[in-house]
Amino acid sequence: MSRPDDLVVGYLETLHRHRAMVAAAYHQGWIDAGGEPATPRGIQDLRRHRTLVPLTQDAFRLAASLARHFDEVLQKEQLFAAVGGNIADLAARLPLLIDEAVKAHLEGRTEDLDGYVDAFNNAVFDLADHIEQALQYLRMLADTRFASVRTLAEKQRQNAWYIARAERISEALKSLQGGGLLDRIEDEPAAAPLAPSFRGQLWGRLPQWRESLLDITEILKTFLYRLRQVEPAGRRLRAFNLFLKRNPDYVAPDIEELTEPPVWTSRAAPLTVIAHPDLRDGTTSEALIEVAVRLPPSPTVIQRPPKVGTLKEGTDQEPRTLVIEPRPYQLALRRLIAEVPTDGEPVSALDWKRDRSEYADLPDSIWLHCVLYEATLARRRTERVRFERVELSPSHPLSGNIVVRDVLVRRV
Amino acid sequence: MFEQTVTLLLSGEFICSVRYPDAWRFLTEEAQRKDVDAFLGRLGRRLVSTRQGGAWFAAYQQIGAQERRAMREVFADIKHNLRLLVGFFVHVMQALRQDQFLAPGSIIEANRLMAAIDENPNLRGELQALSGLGKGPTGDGTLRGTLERLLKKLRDDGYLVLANPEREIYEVTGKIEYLQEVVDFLMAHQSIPDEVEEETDTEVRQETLL
Repeated sequence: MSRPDDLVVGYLETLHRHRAMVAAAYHQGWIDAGGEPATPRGIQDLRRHRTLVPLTQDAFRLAASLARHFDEVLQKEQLFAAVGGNIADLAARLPLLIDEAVKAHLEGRTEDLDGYVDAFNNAVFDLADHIEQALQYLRMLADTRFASVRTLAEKQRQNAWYIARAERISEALKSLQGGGLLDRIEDEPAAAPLAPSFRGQLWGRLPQWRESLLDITEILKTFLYRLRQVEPAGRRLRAFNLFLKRNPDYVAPDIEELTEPPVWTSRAAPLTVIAHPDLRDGTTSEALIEVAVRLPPSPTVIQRPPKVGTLKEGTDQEPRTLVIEPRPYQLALRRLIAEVPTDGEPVSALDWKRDRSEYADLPDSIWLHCVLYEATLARRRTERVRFERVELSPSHPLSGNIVVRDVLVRRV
Repeated sequence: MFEQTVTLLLSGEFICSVRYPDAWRFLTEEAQRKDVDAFLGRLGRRLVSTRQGGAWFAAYQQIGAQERRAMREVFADIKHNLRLLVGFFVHVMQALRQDQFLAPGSIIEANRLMAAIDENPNLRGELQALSGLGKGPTGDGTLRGTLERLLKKLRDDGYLVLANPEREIYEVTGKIEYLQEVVDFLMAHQSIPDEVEEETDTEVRQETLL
């Protein structure tokens, strides 16, 4: 046994199965039975559900009701759309349905009464939905300024058409508000079941709709007014351009030549506003510290001026062989690198030196500097050796100083 | 929003719904406008809108010698760019077959504009002529490059905003109304007739050949 739900689901499944055909028919306006993506089975299924209607022998269009639904969902802009066209007709149904419901109640036809209440509720919902859709559509047109049409004349005609449509909707809303429908529903006890939907769906929303409609009409009228001004502005600009072309030597007058300079000439020159942080303001110090720590350290490039040599006396004689003795720190460094354990255990450069009395003359600070310098040279002998600074926190976070307490040397 | 709006106005920007929608919305409230105007007043400036009401800018409250000097500089800049600006916007109107003035919010699709210029020898010639009016490097010499350079200049000058970078869609800002006011004034001042007969094709062609 099939239920109405099943029919709806079945229909939606048919649409989903042939979605490519439905989309093609909607976008192209029609679909050819022999072309892509149509299939004989699909055409047959969709025709059975009256989704497709014949256009010619081999071509089909989407049913108008479904195409309209897609237009609404996709907010597709139409030319001279009959916005809110059936609002007045839908509103005219309501008093008739109220009359019939009251009669059915008085005559004791309970089943008929239920039917009229359902029909009234549906009619109210239908009407509310139509008004809402119409207002949304008009709002979209007002916001996009009739983007689908190009020429000024077209825009003006479209604008005038939609102003007329908005006025018709306004009339329908006015008659709905002043037609005494609510009084009838409230005065007739038999019409009591109709009141909740009427109040909730229509009556309560009428002020908001009227306000929205007024707003839209205002935008459309303002736009129409501006459109009427735009045409002469365009003409003037073209005329001025032509004048400039025909008078290549034309130079606009200097401001001194104008006896009464217009307002636009008094446009103020830019005033640059530059602010600096107040370093003594405690409330900003945290933010400044954050900025300071993110600043990349400036690279220190030590440029040593080349030493200018002097020729010693007697250089024309046979050259002597000079044996350059390595300096104590060089010897110490070589030894330290050689003695760094292979298991990766770090060695404190300072402790290492202090343990060896022969380097007692080498000051700690100079020694650490030598070790760090060795690290920057990236020599082959230190290829597998890593130097890590042990730092003390600086006296002030913004000083920029790095205080090195020790250097850990380890093999990797 | 007060701070941003005032900063924009002081830095010489035109506030319109296209370029600075938030500041524009802020200025739609009369009380806030009064507030901004009072603040500007203390700096010798006032809040002024274009005649059509599509853009706000800061103007001098009183014109002294110093202000006159600054006004001269602003005006000199307008004079310098006038031919290029007027020529460009009329060129766009012709290419896109739009008979109306490009009001704030009007759309310029770079690809559509390029296609229209490409298929019309007059428009191609006009574009080349326009590129000669601008300062700076001439670019790669192609029509596309020339158009892009012009669009960029108009963007930098605040007449256009790039609304959709992917599709290269530009939107005209409220500053165009300022240009229109300048044009209207100069036309009235020079008694240039409003109704100039349209340029004939022959005239355009001859000019292009020249």
